[in-house]
Amino acid sequence: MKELTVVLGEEGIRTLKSYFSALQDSLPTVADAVESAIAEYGEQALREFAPTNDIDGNEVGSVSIEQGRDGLRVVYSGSDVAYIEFGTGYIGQNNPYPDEIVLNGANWVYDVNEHGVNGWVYRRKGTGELAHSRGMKPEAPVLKAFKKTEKEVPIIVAKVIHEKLG
Amino acid sequence: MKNLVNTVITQLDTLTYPVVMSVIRASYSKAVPVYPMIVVEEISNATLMALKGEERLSSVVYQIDIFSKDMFVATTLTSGVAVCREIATSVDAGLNSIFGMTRTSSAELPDINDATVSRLVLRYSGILDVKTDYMYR
Repeated sequence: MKELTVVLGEEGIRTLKSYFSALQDSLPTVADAVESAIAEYGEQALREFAPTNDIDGNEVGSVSIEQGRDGLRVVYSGSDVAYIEFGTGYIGQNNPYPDEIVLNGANWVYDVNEHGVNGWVYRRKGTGELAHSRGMKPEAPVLKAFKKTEKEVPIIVAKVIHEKLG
Repeated sequence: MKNLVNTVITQLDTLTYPVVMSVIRASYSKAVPVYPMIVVEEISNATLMALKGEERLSSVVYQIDIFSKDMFVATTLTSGVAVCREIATSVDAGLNSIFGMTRTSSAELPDINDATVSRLVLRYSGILDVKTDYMYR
């Protein structure tokens, strides 16, 4: 906790005014520092929760910080990250057999779960090898990172204010 | 620990939708999907506060997946995307008014595998008092 000692009187009031004016002037800088610190924490948290190996052939995404319209934002990008975050759901086409994929060049990855708990076979992106899946549930790395960051915000804010303003 | 999936499904079943819902169910069911369809899944259920060794507050997140194909709404042929959005309006009102949950995200996902199916994902969060069933935002 910062302490300020002044002598009561005109001089003391001038000192206080000057102190608060300087404090006010520094607020935008402090706010920027808080924003950066939260974004960096969020980025780290997302890296922690985002899968590093492909899941059911879904390619891993990349995590970065970007300047958005309203400030910094942590971005999770990649062709398959929506499915990693929200799961595959009940989408796709119907044939579960690898022969069909090979013979007819079927281009689906997930089917509509019509095969129940038996799952289905698909071709891995990249390697092209056949694999089996029962569907991918939501991994929700963004949600997990958000919740972890949300919890940490008061601590980050206090730390930055302490660093910047003493 | 309290799981609200079945309760949410039961309540969503009582709502009025702009189209006739074919099915409302939990995720990864063995049943063949029929459209329009709503799928309810619990994404997160974590202890927020425990008293004397008993959980009191849980932080919960539910995901509602809405799937639809193009279909007639009244006499108008409506795209699956639009049908999903209309259903979402009813779902959203229900989750807010009945359960007191907060919608934290809404995403329309591209479906490269089956262009005839549209999917809209809604996520809701809340803090559930497992003793009183009160939901806090």
